[in-house]
Amino acid sequence: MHKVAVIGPIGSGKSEIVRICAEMDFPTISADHIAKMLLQLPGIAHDDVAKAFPNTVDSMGKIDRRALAQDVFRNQEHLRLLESLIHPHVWQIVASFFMECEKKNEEFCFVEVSAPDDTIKTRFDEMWCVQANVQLRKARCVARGMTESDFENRNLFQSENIDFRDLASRIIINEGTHEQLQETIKAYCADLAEIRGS
Amino acid sequence: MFELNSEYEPSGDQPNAINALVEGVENGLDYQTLLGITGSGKSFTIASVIAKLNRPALIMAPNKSLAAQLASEFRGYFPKNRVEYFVSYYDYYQPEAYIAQTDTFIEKDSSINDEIDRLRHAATSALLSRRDTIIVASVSAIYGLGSPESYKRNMVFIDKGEIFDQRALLTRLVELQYERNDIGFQRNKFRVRGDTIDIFPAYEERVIRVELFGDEVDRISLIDPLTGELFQETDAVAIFPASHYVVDPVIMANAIAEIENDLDDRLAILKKENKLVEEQRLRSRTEHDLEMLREVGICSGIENYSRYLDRRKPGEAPYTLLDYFPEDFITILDESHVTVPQLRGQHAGDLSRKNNLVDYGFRLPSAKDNRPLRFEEIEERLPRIIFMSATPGPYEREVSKQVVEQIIRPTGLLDPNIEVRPTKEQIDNLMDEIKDSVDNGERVLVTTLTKKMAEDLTEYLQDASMKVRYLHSDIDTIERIEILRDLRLGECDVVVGINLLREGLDLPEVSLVAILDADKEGFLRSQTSLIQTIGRAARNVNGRVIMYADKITDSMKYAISETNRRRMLQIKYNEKNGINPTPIVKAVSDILDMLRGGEKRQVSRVDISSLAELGQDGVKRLITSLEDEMHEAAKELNFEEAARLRDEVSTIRKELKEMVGLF
Repeated sequence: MHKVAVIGPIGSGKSEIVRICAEMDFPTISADHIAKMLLQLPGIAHDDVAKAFPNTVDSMGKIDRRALAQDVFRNQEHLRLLESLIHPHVWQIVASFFMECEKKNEEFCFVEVSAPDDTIKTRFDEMWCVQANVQLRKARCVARGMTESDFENRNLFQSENIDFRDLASRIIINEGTHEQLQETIKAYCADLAEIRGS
Repeated sequence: MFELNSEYEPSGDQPNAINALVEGVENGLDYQTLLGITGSGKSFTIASVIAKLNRPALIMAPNKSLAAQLASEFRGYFPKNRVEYFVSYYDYYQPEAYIAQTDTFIEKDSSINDEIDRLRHAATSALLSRRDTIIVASVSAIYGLGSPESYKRNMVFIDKGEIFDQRALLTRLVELQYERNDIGFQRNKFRVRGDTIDIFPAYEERVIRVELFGDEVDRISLIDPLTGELFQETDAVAIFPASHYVVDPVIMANAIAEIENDLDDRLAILKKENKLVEEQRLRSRTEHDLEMLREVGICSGIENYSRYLDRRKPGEAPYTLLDYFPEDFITILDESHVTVPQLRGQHAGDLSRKNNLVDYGFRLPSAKDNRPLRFEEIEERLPRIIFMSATPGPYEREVSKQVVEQIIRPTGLLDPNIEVRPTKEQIDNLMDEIKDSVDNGERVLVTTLTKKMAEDLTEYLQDASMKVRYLHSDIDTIERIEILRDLRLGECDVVVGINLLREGLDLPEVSLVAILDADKEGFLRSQTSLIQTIGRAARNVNGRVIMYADKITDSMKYAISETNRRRMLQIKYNEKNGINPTPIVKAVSDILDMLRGGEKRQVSRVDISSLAELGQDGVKRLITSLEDEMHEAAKELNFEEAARLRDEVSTIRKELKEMVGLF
């Protein structure tokens, strides 16, 4: 199975792309979403994070994701710690998603990855990197309910971490309309079909 | 040597393809491509090539089920020769891995690997003992294996009917480190009573009984070590030491010394980096392994020490199945457009897993030398490759010195007629066409570009009281088989979907394939995808394709002209040879058989909550019967089912443990 990771900075339109792929009947999953679920549901991942970030745990023993985000996007080291706690669990779930797809004879699948680590190259066959200028990305995030300063913080951290473009096998500039993006993705999927099995 | 058994003679463009490929190999062409369409009898061509060349062959398939399919096909072609199946459990079973931070170490699960292991040994032993051998393998063929020399020294293969001097057999067993003990019969021992030899291998739960009649092997059976009850008779059995890695004592002593050295170095590094947990872990694990190696000669995960045992230098390529082949063998890469990228990707994937194991102190860095071959190493080791595909990829096209086309179907079946119609009122038009086909007793496939469109269309057709089903990626495997079975049986007439190429759809009842939005850019609207989609209607004599489009794209133009070209060639061939197209109608039972596996699934799925009612003994019996089913499934090469049963057994075992507390 050919595995495609969709990466890109915050607000660039990763989930939009993954949605377009799902609409074309490709199996898709979002690593970001998995991470969120892991933090919400009881389990090892939740407990490890709670132990490492006691200040973000509420009176019910649950992790307050907002507080956690506030914390890690102000402190590079905390972010790294959080990622090192969460990533292995996320990859494990992604791996079982791959197995499920393979059982169904799927030839392609797409995974949205917001926080790629250096293992990403070995996990996927191809990476699509979405780009958009910073004003546009900010506007999108604000429209989603994020404050401007939150955006600034996250954006700074991510771009410092990894230059997404170094990883990409395709760069998608998403600064136009949804329809334009749809056309681009469809064209890329058409290319994918050239490597599919018979 | 190779003896091809087939009621067919090569026909159509098969004779040309066979000759061209044979000549190609004889003239020393390293890379050739067989571009063959579905239904043109590619595997028959390849079988003929192998028979003509009379050389051992390796056939590589992109996955286990395709490999199993090919193996059984080739067994049919070569009943008198050896056709073996070589896959790894890595494809489905969790390999050894470490998930950092959660601190989980996943041991290799080997509970149902016995059958695969036996098959692997059968493959290697066949290669070493006779030239008329074909191995059908997955990518497993490029993973590390013990060296052929030491392997040869360390195994014995017994065939029913084979002439085998008893004394020679007993000597061989002793060489394999089996001990004769006629009274205390245990693992790693054998006993002799008259002409009957019982062998209790370390890796078996059952005893192998070999009965000789004079010098001939009369009967081989598996029996219960305690009761002597007969489990099953077999035609052949391989007896090998508990692992592919059994080494002579001198090499082992050297290896142990080297491992100790490397361990010290590594521990020092870990300590310096202040990785104390890792240091502690590596020390205890490796020392345990060393102890096992010293005392028993093997340890679990011994392949991770293969570099020492094979006496290879760091970084040097491991021995693989390819080293077991004689020099002049040929390789066929089936579905090469998938297999080639797969071979390319193996090394990197393996390395990232090994890095984790090494970084966190589960293995010495030398474990990285137990690895699959790099692509360059594969290229070096695979001479005379024939790529086989309907749509060869760029690599194959580039390196191939010769591309041999095979586009005539011996059955005379034609590629379908293609019509392009405007999208205006396409749905009404489509409904009329569907009605016509259904009235004819035929079925229809419709492909759309998006899920939404597929859903809407399904609903619309249902409202018009048509029997229609919608196939998409969220439907699980069993339900998909059911839908396709229903389509063949006429329980439904129309299947709507986006990717109808995903399934190995072989549906002779389908006479109409409708492609909506054929002119829109998108997945499955490219030239090769269109050709393949069109091919879905090529199993039926009345096959036709309607493309709904307002313009003709380049992809469409190419697909239409290519299909027409093939159609014309086939028509000419049919006329010349007086052939009337006749479809090969496979009985629906083929699919039903597949489905029966599915039904068994339902029946055997155990309701955990009712376990308590069975009582402890009942549960134990249940486990035994599930395990039998599991071994059976593995034997039939149905590894997904076997893995599922394995999981079920382990769940029940866990329950049993808790129950024991209750009783």
